[in-house]
Formats: sequence, structure tokens, C-alpha cells
Amino acid sequence: MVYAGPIILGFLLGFILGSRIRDNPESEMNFTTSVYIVFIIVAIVVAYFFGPFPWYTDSPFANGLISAAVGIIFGKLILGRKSIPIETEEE
Amino acid sequence: MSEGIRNLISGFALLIFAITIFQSTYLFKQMIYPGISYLYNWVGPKIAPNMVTLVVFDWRGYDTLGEALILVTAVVVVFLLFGRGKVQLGGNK
Amino acid sequence: MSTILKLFAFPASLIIMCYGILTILGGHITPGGGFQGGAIIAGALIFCFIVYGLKKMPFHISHDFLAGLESVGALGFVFLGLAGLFASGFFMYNLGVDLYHIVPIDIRNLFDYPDPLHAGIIPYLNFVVGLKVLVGLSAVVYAFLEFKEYNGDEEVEEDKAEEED
Repeated sequence: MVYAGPIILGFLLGFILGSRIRDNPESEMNFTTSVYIVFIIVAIVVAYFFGPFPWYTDSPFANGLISAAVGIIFGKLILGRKSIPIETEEE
Repeated sequence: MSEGIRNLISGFALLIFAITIFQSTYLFKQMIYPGISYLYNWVGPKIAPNMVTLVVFDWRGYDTLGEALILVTAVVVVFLLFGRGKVQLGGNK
Repeated sequence: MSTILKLFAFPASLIIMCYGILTILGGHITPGGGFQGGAIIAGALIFCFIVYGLKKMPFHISHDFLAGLESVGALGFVFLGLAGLFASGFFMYNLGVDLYHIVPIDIRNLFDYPDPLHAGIIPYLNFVVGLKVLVGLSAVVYAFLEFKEYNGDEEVEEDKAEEED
């Protein structure tokens, strides 16, 4: 049974940060879905090599990292923004 | 007053000040009684292993509130000085 | 900025944000905590600011977002202290770890952190302080970058020259 503290707090913080990611399909640097799949795989590998916190005996991963990565992706999917044409304000 | 006499007087005043400070802080450690620090050093590791975070957030938590107030003041002053991007800076329309 | 930097900066800043979140979460066990983790997340945001510029940022930061996030952080800190004041007689009393045994057991179970160490409200305090520091450091860079865009305006300098006459 895993401890609920780091998972819930890490997901909340990742959700706040992920809700600000914006797609930009007409720019020359277009980040598609494959970037996020590679990001999840790298996060899982890094969490395995970090190991859990001291005195935590539930799982061999660092649970905070994985829940933060999942929170970022959830924030982008639920509250993500579409691109808007940017104009400088002249008033 | 000329330059030389002013330098001499300032050097003399600095010497008296240094002697006063060093005499008051010599053997300072034997004059302090730790008191409640013994209590907190005994009860602290029972709460959490990291004593630095414990002292910052649990024993002196009120001072951390003051530090948070400093950060709020810094952000308010920066936004006040540089504007929110909606005001035309300078010139008359 | 070259193409390699633009290709690398966004995934790298995502990983650095996750590392900063890990530092905030382990504030009561490992060296770290709210201030340090908030600075790491702000570093990731500033990295994206510098590489992409203000118009093509993948993260859409606005003034209202920064102000709201910092307000949530500061008010959360104060309300955790006030909860300690109302439940017992002391401001910012650690309600999860009851040193004097004066709080009923329901409130103690409510504010406890589900963790093998049971550190009380210290992880929650780390969380809100991390939000504050993250906003406080990136707001300065955001204000500086936005101010630079008005400097290339020719009309402003001509009007100022007319005023000095």
C-alpha cells in the first residue's frame, strides 16, 4: 500500500504548472504528442534511478516524480490552451 | 580641520570601538545558558529527521511568515515600477 | 538562439520542474524544502523565457496568473497558522504532531500528513512557500522582459525630446 501524501501533493502542483502549456501549430517549433510520450518514459526511468525517500518502504520508484509528470500531462489535456495570434498592444 | 588631524581622530575612535567590542564578546560562550534549546534538541528528531526544516518552519515559524511578507513586497514593488504592460510609458498622447 | 537549443529547452525544463516538485515534497526528510524547490522550478521557467522569447513561449504566463498564485501561497500560510490559533491557544501550532496533547484527536487526524514519519503541517507549509518563491523569482524576469519591448518605440523618444524643450 502506497502512501497518499506525496502522490496527492505532487499531482496538485503538476496540475497547476501543466495548465499553462499552450499549443502553437503555426510556429516553426511544433511540439507534437510524441514529445510527451518520451517525457513520460524518461520520467519513469529517472524515478527508478532516484529511488524512494529514506524511511519509505512502499515502492522502488520515487512516487513524487511520477505523480508530478502525470499531473503536468493531465493539466495540459484538461485546462490547456489553444494558440492565439499574438499582437503587440498599441493604445 | 585638516586632513591629517581628522584621520588621526578617526583612527583613535576606531581603536576604542574595537577594544570595546572585543572585550564584550571575549568568553561569550560561557556566559550563555542554552535553556530551551536542550528541550527542542531532544524532542525535535521525534517529529522529522531534518532539523534545519524543523527549526525554520516549526520552532521559528513566525519568522518565516515575515520572510514570506518580504517576497510579497518585492513582487508588488517590481510590478508597480515596471507596469503591467497596458500603460504607455512616457510621452504624451 | 540556435535550433538545437530550441529543440532541447522545452523537454528539459519539464524534467527540471518535476525535479523541483520532488525537492519540495521531501522537505522534512532530505535537504531541501519550500524555498529551494521553488527556486528550482523558477529556474526552469526562466530557462524557457530566455530561449524562446516572450511571444513564442510554450508556457502562457500572464500577470493575473502570477498574482493569483502568489496570493494563494501567502493566504495558505496565514490560514494554516490561524487554524492552529483557533484549535489551540497558539499561533502556528503543529496540529499534526501534538506536543502538549491539547487538541482533540479528530483535528489531529485531519492535519496529519499520511507518511511513515507523521510530520504534521510541515509538508503543507513547504508546499505554499514553494508557490510563493516560484512566483517571486519569475515575476521579476517577466517584468524585465516585458519592459524591454517598449524601448524600441520611436514615438516615445520623440515625445520625450519635445518635452525637454
